[in-house]
Amino acid sequence: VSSVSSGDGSSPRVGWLVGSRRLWRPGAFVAFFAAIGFGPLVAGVSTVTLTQFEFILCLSMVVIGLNVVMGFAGQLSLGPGAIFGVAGYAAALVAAHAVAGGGLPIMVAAGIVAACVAGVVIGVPALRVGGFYLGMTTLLLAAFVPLVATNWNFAGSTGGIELIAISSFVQQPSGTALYLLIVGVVFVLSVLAWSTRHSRIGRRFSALRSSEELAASLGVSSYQTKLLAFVLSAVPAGLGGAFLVFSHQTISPGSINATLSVYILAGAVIGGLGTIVGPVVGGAIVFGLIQFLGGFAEYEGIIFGCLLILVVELAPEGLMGVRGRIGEAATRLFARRRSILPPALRGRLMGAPHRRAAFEHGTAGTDILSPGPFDELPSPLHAGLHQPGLARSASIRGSTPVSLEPERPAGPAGGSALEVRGLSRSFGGVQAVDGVDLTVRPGHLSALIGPNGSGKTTIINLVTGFYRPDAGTVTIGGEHLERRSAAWIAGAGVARTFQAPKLMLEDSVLENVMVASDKRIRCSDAESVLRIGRGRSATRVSASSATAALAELGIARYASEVAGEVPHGIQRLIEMARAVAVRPRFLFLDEPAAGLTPAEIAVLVAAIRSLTAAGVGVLLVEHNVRVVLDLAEEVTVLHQGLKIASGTPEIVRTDPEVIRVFLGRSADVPERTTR
Amino acid sequence: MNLDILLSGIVTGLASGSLYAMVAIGYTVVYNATRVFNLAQGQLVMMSILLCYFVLSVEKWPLVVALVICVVATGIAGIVEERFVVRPLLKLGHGRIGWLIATLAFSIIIETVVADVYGYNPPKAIPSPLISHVLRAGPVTLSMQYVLVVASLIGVVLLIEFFYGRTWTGQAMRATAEDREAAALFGIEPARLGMTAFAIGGVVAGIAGFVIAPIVFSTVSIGLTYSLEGFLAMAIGGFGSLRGAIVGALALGVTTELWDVYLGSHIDLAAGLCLLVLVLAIRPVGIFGRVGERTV
Repeated sequence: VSSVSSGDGSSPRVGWLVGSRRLWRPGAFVAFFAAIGFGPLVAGVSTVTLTQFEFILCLSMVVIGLNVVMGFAGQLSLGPGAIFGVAGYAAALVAAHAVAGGGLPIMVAAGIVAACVAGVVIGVPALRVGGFYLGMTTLLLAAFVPLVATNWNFAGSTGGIELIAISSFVQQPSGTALYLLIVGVVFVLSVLAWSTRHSRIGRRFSALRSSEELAASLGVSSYQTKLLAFVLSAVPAGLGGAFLVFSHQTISPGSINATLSVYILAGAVIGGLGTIVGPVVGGAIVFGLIQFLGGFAEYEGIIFGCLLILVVELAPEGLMGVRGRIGEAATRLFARRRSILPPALRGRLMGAPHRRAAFEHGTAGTDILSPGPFDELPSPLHAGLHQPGLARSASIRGSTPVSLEPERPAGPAGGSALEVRGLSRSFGGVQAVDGVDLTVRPGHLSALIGPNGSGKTTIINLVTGFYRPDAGTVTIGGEHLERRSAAWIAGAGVARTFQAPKLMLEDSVLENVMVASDKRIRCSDAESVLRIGRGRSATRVSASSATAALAELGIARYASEVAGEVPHGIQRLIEMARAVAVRPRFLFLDEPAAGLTPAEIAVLVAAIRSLTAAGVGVLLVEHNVRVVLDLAEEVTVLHQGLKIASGTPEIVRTDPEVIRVFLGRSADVPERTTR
Repeated sequence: MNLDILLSGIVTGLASGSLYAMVAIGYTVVYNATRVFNLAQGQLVMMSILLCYFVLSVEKWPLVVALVICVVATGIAGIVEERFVVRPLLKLGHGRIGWLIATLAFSIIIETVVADVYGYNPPKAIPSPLISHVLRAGPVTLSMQYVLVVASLIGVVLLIEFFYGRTWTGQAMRATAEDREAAALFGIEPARLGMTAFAIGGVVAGIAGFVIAPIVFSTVSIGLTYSLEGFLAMAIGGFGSLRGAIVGALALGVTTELWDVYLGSHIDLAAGLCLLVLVLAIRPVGIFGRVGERTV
C-alpha cells in the first residue's frame, strides 16, 4: 500500500527532539527571570562579572532564535553564529562609521535589519531544497562569514572593530542598567517565543515540523512557512549580536567562528528544543561554562562535544524536556492514586486522564457516543455546522469581532463537481493508475474500492497534488488542478486525510484541529502573536470552531490532551475532525475507518453524512466493502490501476467483473469446494 | 586572458579536486551503508595531516611509518565514531538528524583533541621528497606531490570498486545502498556494515591526509573546510554515487582554483557556494543524483 513518500525524506525532522509543551508556568517563569535579573545585583557582583553575564545572555538570545527555526518549525539550521556575526558587525559598523555616536537604538535596529536580510539571503536558495541541504548550507555560512570578516579591511580584518577606540561611541546605558535591560530583552523574547508557539504561526510551524505533507494538506505553503521561521529566528540573533557588541564594545572574526555555531546548537539541544525556557537554560549552561571555565578553556570543545552526544543519545528532549517528563510522570502517578475515589467524583476531579484510562479498559467504546462536557457547550458554530446557508459570526465580549470566511459553496464554483478525466501515473514501469475517470459531486458521497495496490491512494495523491499525473486532468468548474501544488489545491477547498494519521504529536488535540480552522479566520500573523487587535478573538473563535469539529466526532473531551498520547482510533477521528474544520468543498478520505471500533465507525459515518448534507463532495476510499456499499451513492471499482466498474452500489454489487476481482472466481459459476 | 594561466589553473584545480574527491568518497562509502553523512570526515583528514607532521617533522621517522600510522589512526577513529557516536542513535531510530548533530559534535572533539596535543602553533611545512619535483607538460607545470594526490585518488577508486564488486561485504553494502529492507531480509547485518564503512571512510581520510600534508601545511582549523568542500562535492555530483562524488569534486576543484586565479584566494569558499547554488537551481538532485533520492 503506497503512502505519500515523495518528500518523505526531504525533511529531516527534529520532532523527536521536541519536548513537552507543558512548560508554561507564569509564576515560575517570572521568578526565573527575576532571579537572573536581581540575583547578581543582590549578591553584589562586580561590573566586570556583569559584563560576563551579559555575554551569556546575549548568546542565549541567539539560542532562543535557533529554537524558533529548529525547535518550533523543525528546520535544520547549523549556522546561527553566522547570522549573529552579521548582526554584530552591522551594529559595530554603524556605531563606528555611519551615525555619529551610534547609540543603542540605532545599533539594535542595524543588527536586526542585517540579521533579517542575512536570514532571507541564506534562506531563499537553501530552503528550495531544504532539509539536510539547509543544515549543510547554513554550516557553510558559519564558516564563510568569519572568513569574509577576516578579509574585509573596512571591518578591521583580523583585528575586528574596537568601539572603545572610537571617541564618538558612548556606552549609555551601562553597568547595572544595561544588565537589567538585557535581562529584560531576554525575558520579552522568551514571552514572544511562547506566544509565537501558541499562535497561528506556531501551529503552522508545528504542522511543518510534523510533516511537510501534513502542512501541504492544510494549505500551508512549506516554503513561505520555512522562510518565515528563518526570518523570525534572525530577529533574536540580531538583538543578541547588537547587544553583545554594545556591551563588550568589540567584535572580531575569531569571536564568531564556526565553533560558535556548534556551541549555540549545543545550547538549544541541551536546554530542550521546542521548549520555552530551555534555550535560556541551555544557553546559560553552555556559555556560562565557556565564560567561567577558567583553566579548562582548552578542553571546552571536548566537554561540549561529549555533552552534546550524550544529550542527543540519552535525553533527546533536553533538560527542560526531561523535567517536563518527570513532571508528567508525577502527575500520572498522582492521578492513579486518586482513582480510589468513588466513580461519581472521579470524572470531575481528574478529567481527561480518567477518560483515557476508561478508553484503555474498553469502557469508552460506549462512552464515546454520550455527550462529553464540551459537546454540550452552546456554540453558534456547532449549531450552524449542519446549516450551510447560515452566516457564521462570533462576537466575543470586549474584543474585536472576528468573522469566519463565508461558506465555500456560495462561491462561483460552488455548484461545480470535481471531475477527473483520464488520470494516469506510473512508477518505474508499474502503471499505478491508468486512465481513470471519476466525478465527485457536491453533497454526494462517492466511494473508491479495490484490492490492495489497485491505485486508490495514488488517485488521492494525484488529485490533491502530492503526485504529478503523467496524463489526465482534474478540474473543478473548468479550473485545472493537476499542475497545482498540494498547498494550493488544499487552499482551493480540496481536503484529504491520510491512511496513517498525520498529527502534530507533541501538540494538544485542540491545536491539531485549530491549525485547520485558523485558515478560515481572517487575522494577521502579527496580531495573533502579539495578541492585539483581532488576535485574541481570532484565537478564541478558532478554538471554539475546532472544539465544535471535535464535538462533531464525539471527541471534544480529548481537546486538551497531547495528540501523541491518545489511542489510535481517537487519532483517526482527530484527523477527521481536522478535515471537518477545514470546511472543504471536497474531501478525500483515505480509509478513515481502518482500526476503528464499531461505535467509532458509527460516529464517523454520522460525521460523513452531515458533511454531505452540508454540501461537501466526499470521496471515500475504504476496504470495508459492506460499509461502502451501504453508504455511497456512487461506487467506482479499481483493479490494477484500471477502472473496472462504476455506478450505484446495486449495479456494482452484481457486476461479474467486480465479483471476480474481489472473490477470485467467476460470478456465473458459483463454485463450491467439495473437497 | 592568458591561456596558459587558464590551463594551468584547470590542471591544478583537477589535482586539488582529487583531494576533495577523496573526502567525498569517504562520505559516500559511509552514506551508502548507513545513510549517515559523517560530518567529521574533514577532521579525520586534518588529523592525518597533523600526524604526518608529528611523525615526519618531529620524530623524523620514515615515510612508510607515517603512512601506516595515519591510516591506522584514522581507521580506528572511524570505528570509534561508529560504535559510540552513530550506532546508539541509529539503534534508537528516532528522527534523522540526531546523527548529524552527533557527528558534528564528534568533529569538534577531534579538533579539540588534536589542537590540545599539537598546540595552536602557526602552520608548518611538512617535508616530502616529491615536493621539489615538477611535472612539465607544455605550458603546464604540476608539483609531483599533486601527481601523487591524483594517483592516490585513482588507486582509492580502484580499490573501492574492487571492494564493491568482488568482496562479499562490498556487495552487501551495495545491496544495502540499493534497498535497505531487502538487504536486511537477506541477512545482511547493517551494524556490521556500518562499522566497516566507517573504517573504510577513516582509512580513505588517512590516505588523503598523508598525500596532501606536504602541500597544505599543518593547521587544525582546516578540517571543517574539508568537511564542507566534501559536502559541496557530493551535493554537486549527487548523493550516494561514487561517480557523482568524483565529478562533483573535480568540478569544485577547478571552479575554486579558477576563482583563486582570477578573483583572489581570500574567500574561495564562495566559489563552491556559487557552484552549489547554480547546480541546485538547475538540477536539485546533483549531476548524477537520482530523482527522488536527493534526500538524506
